[in-house]
Amino acid sequence: MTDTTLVEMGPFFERHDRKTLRTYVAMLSISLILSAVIFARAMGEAGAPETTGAIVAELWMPVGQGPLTIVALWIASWAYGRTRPSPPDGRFPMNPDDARNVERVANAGAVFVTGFCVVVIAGQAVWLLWSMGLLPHAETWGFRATLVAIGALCVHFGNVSPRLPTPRAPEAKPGVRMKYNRLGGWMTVILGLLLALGGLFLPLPALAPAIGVLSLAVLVAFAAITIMYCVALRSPRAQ
Amino acid sequence: MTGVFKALADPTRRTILQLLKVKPMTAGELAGHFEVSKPTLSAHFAVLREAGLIGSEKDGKHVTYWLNASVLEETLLTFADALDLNLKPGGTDAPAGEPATRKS
Repeated sequence: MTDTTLVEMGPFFERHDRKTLRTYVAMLSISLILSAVIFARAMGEAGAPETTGAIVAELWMPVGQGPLTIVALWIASWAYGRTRPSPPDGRFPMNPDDARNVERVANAGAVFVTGFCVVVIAGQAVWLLWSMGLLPHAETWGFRATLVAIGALCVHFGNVSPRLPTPRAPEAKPGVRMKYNRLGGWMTVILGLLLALGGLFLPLPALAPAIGVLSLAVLVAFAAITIMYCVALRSPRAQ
Repeated sequence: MTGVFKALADPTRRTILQLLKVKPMTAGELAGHFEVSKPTLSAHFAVLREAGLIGSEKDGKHVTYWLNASVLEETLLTFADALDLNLKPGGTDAPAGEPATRKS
């Protein structure tokens, strides 16, 4: 019943890291090209904003926000990847169940990263087409579609993330780690559902403030959970 | 998904999952919570493992089990528990047909 053969996960991690790097480079390149096109077009138009402040105000979102969001996600992925232990021989032998779960969570993470970048790039492309008059009312449905897409990505990743393997030695407090893995997964799924439902059903004037409040609440909740997790790991009573 | 529904249809298996929510446990620790024979419990573990709801690792004489459920599967478990779902007539579908009473 219990397969004791260990699975070597080193090659999988190498492939995964290469794939992630390629995704970020490709997505950032596309986003920067779109930013350059939007910027050049806006500057070449008659009646372009004259002061630096006006230029920044008008073009910040389509030109700066996209690439910076991708860079921020890249830095976050890199920082998260550094939490993975790196044995000197590069070998990662794993229990088959753990190996399957690592693959599932890593693949869900790859889907999240790729999907998020595609949403960012699509947002820039829609803005460009809208500014050319090709997509009327895009400012309404574009925002809603973005929220629904990001919500769906959060639900997909959050659903799988509780499966992230944890050490099982009693001194590593596996119960605490499992509990907070699950909590993180639940929160991500709930956040995704709120984003998607808000994007679908909230009236437009209420949408931006609601998303602002939600983002703030999520930041506070994740910070609180991180602190609670660190405290629980140090508590002698926690299992 | 059929395997998940089958696994969640039995109250003993749901109790095992609830116990594993707290922390990973050995087969012996889990057995202490039930009045069923070890082969019956092993059969339950096999069903749960096949459904991908638990993971297991053999360490010497002990087999350690841990919860391996996604958020969706945990939601289904909560619903099944709330509705006290028991799809088999006469209670549990434990292979040995023993009562799966939880020790108080």
